[in-house]
Amino acid sequence: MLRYFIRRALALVPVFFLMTVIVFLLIRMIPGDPVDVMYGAEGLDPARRAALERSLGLDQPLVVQYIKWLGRALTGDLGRSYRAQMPVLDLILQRLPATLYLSLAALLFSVVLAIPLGILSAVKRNSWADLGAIGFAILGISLPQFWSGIMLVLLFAIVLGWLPSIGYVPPQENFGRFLRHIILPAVTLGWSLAGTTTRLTRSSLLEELGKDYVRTARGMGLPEHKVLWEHALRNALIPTVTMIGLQLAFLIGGAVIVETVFAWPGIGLLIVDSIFARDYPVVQGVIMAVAVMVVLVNLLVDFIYTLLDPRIRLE
Amino acid sequence: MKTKYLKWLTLLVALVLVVSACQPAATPAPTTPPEKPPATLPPTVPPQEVATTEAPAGPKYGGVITFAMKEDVTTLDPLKAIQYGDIRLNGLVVQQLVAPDRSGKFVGVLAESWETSADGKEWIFHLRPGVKFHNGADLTADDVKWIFDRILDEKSGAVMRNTYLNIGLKVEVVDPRTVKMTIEKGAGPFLSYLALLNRSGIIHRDSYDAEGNVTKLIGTGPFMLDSFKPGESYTLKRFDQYWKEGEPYLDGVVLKVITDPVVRLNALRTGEVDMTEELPLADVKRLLDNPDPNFTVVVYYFNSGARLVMNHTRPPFNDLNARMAVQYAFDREAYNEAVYFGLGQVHNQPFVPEDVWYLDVPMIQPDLQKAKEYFQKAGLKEGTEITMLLMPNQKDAAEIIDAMLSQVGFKVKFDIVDAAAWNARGKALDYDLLMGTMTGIFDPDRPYGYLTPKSSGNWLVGGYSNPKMDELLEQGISEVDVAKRKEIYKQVLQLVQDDAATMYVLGLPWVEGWRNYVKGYRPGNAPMLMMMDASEGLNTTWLDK
Repeated sequence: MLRYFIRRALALVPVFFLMTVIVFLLIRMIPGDPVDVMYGAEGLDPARRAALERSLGLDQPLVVQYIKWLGRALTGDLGRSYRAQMPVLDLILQRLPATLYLSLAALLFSVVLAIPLGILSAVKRNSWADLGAIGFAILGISLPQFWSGIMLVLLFAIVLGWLPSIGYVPPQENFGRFLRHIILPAVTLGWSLAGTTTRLTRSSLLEELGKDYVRTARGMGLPEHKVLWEHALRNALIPTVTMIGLQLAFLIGGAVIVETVFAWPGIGLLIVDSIFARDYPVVQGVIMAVAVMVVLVNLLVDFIYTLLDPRIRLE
Repeated sequence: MKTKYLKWLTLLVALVLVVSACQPAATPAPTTPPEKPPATLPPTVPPQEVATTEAPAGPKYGGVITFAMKEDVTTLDPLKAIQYGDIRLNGLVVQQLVAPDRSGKFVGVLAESWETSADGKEWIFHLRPGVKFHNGADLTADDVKWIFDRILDEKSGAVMRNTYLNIGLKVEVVDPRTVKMTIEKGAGPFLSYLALLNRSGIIHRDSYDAEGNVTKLIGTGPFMLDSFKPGESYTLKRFDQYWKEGEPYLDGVVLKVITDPVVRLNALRTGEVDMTEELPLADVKRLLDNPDPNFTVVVYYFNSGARLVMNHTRPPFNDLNARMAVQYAFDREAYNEAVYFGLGQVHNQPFVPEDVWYLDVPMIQPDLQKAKEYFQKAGLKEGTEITMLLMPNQKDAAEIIDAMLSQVGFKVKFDIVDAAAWNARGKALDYDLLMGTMTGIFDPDRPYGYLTPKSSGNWLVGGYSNPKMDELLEQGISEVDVAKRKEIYKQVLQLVQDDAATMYVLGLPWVEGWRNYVKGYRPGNAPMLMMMDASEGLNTTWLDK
């Protein structure tokens, strides 16, 4: 078991390095450079520009810059933000909790809603309940988040005044306010995730329910709930778990739109702002940190597979 | 079968109930809910007037105001401040020797008074007594000299360095309360340099860490920086030893970064922020016609401008005729309607009509016939392709510009790029057209100063060059007498139009909004929350609640 995980983790190392190279090069390939963004383009004479580039280490060949950065990054030093003038790691740690809470809350909302809905619509296929679930799913998938987010704000924050429209309060500061602030962004984000999960649960459960072993189980007189809960559902949930894992990985990278609509200080906005500012160390550091977390989530998903289906213990 | 179906339904209903029950009543709400509309309506604020929040019963002390700002702070160092958010923040914390008042006249802030020699080359500044830094230290002439030495130091990265080097600035300490500055030229705009957007702001030397970064901002302003989270919020608290007795009224200010204008408006609606800036113009238009009972929205103008820039260094716009074709094809009113819902201020120069530097030079009116003639004269073919650089927030301009220029015969290709790429390509003169904007204009030398290739900002007017213009600009900065300077700059502006050097299109509409319990505030003459002359900004703002 442990060996299986170590092997999985090792397999991801090359992917990880390739990714750092790509990120490192991509951000430097787009026109515009940090010196201009920081010092304005109006009054920079070449001598001062050269001095600034030297002080940021941008005058060295790309390979040298990359190796230096990677060497430090592997020891946990992600460098300093050009803009915020603070260590990149501090910036990440400042934003990470907000992103994790939002991701988990959105995921929780979507799973709690989507899996039962998916099961319901598969079991009661072509009923009004199925239709309702499909409607819910389609809306979630097709409504753009900025629109559904703003509609939710209009209704719950402006018209009804029940919930705040913006901001984030750390749970350790005030848990009640934290909950109130997280509901709207989590629902907005969770809804669009729930759509996909509902549809996937429904279709894979339908597929399982049509298989021979289900027919055999029913033929042997097993009660329907046992057929469903103990046999069909377990198999049907494997693709759903994969999907949820992918969604979580995606969420950790930040939900830029929802973060913008709710002024939620997460990782997504940090990446976007840093790209606009050509703040190379932050872009590289954040993406690397996100990549590490995605790898961890993937391992977690693999682990859940083994619980659902003991056959998946690859040699 | 029936019972199983019911079981499922019950489960689902239970789930829905649990989820919905969690939402509104999950916890007691410590924050105040949005306010109910007051019985009386506030006075409507006409867009052309600068509104003041009324203060009938006299100011109350206390309270913290939350202001939603549209951009994050990019540097705490006022000497390096070029971005909007930087200026918003340091305007509350840092002050300069002098500043323009609302009429554009320069008044003393940290300098109580000053004298000039007859030739304008010697300036003696007397510092205001009793000014303390946020760390408790007294402001002395030494501190002033230290800051200017820093600005002139190559390593500091100060924005004003070139400007001061160019006029040969030297700063000496006469006594602890007196500073002497000598310049070789540039007496005309000298005070405006000292006042420019806090870029010569006097901060205490302990603000800088060993590497020369500002890690704690120690100014002399009414508020001091308490804590901040980049990209999120900046918390300021009242400076009890502020030199203006009795000010400020507020206990603190929270600057909250909210980048989306719709989100800022929503937050103002719910009262989660007390004040904000730059709202969606379509909503602003509606709110001016039908004011909301809970908050006030104001459009105001200060010297700023949108400027259509043509690249003088490559075809087709290295040819005067081609530039003239654009100058006559461009309809400012139509542009204002299409992009700013008519809220911009159409004029042909970057000054508001009330400003002393607004010059009597007639604006060229759009004339399609003439535009087509010039297009012909330039020998251009129908469908000549030109590239226009736009930033994402300017993309609304594309349609109207395309409409105006295509009827003359140009085919406009729009490249929408982010600000950094826009700057890089702009500087490399890799475009035919772009729309630039500028703020912080207190002297004609700033906007018109770019019109010479000697200026490092010459790319901001498309690399325009004309020896006659260089000569005029040189005269302009050496002359001290305002009336004579105005005559010089009139010739400058006339030449701008004759050469179709660049087109000043309109003054930008600036929007601020506040909940009606915010009193004692007037928008400034630059993107500042405190008037630079230290009057009626957030320093005199109070909360009536």
